[in-house]
Amino acid sequence: MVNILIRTIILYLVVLFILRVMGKGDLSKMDPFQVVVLFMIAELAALPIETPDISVFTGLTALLTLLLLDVVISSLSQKCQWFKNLVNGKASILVEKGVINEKEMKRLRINFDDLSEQLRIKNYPSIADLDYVILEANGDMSVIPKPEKNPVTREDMGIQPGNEFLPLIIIADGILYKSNLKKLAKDEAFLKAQLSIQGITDYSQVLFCFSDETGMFKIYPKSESTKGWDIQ
Amino acid sequence: MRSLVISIIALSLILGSWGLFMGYANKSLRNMIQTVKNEVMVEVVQDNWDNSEKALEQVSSSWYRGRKGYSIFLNARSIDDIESSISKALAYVRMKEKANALGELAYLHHQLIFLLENEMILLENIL
Repeated sequence: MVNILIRTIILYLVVLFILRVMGKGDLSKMDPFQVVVLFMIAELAALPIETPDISVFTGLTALLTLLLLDVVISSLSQKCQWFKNLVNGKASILVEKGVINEKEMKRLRINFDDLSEQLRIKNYPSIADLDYVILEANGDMSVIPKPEKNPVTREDMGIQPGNEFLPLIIIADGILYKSNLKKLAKDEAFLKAQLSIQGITDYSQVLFCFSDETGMFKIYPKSESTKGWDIQ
Repeated sequence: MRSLVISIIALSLILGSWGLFMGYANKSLRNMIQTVKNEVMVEVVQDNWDNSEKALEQVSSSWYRGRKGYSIFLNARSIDDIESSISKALAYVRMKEKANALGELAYLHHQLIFLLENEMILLENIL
């Protein structure tokens, strides 16, 4: 029993190592190749845990071979476009300049029900509103509406945007994020002064505090009410 | 690029240690196979029980010297089969049971060959 526990810990650490080496970039792509590799990693890691006859070393060899293949194929895909197309496939245009590409839809075995469903999910109930619908290589559907159907932006309205900051966590579960406070050019004295106005004397009394894109602090104290306070 | 280097190093370490082990295992298993076939079985056929027991104990100690390595790199079931076969063969030889001893030694011989061939880079092993 303890052996299984130790084997599980070893393989967990190996999978963690593999996912870290693969990197966020690889994981976020989730193209068909990536999905297959991730399924295989899960299966290969589980095999030596479930089957004590198989040595951990055997599992390790398979997992590390998959990692190397994945990294090599990712690197080649980055350097060579035709190789990328060969491994991942290409995006398919289903609607081009408002015209439905029926041939491409048939080739991809997508019917109008599927297309309408996906468009509804993307918040575009009418195909007539769309300029382009693209089925990406990873299976996601990208939608580009006609210019007249695009949402109005600040630029369209001639509104000058103010200074915008990256929203940052200042306190979470009573723990102060000093580096984030520093990034906002504020110090603890300022924060404590603001908290004391709300009757908060210690960070442990704060459930969550963050600065929004305008630089305003939002404070959610630890209490039954989750209503927050704003501090400029 | 960093990922590529790390994954190459990690796999090289694994393959390197496997290569070193296989170098040792190849030599050790071949010696055991030869001893079982040319010494132990021959001595049993000629009813030289003391000599056959000594030769078989040699095989047994040679096996257990490399046991840690075998258990890391090889399938646990094959290792169990060989160990139980060594124990049975030793018991038959000590009891001077010729037919059973020869049968078990033949099985041990086959298992050792199987273990050696199973790790070789051959098309039938790959497919």
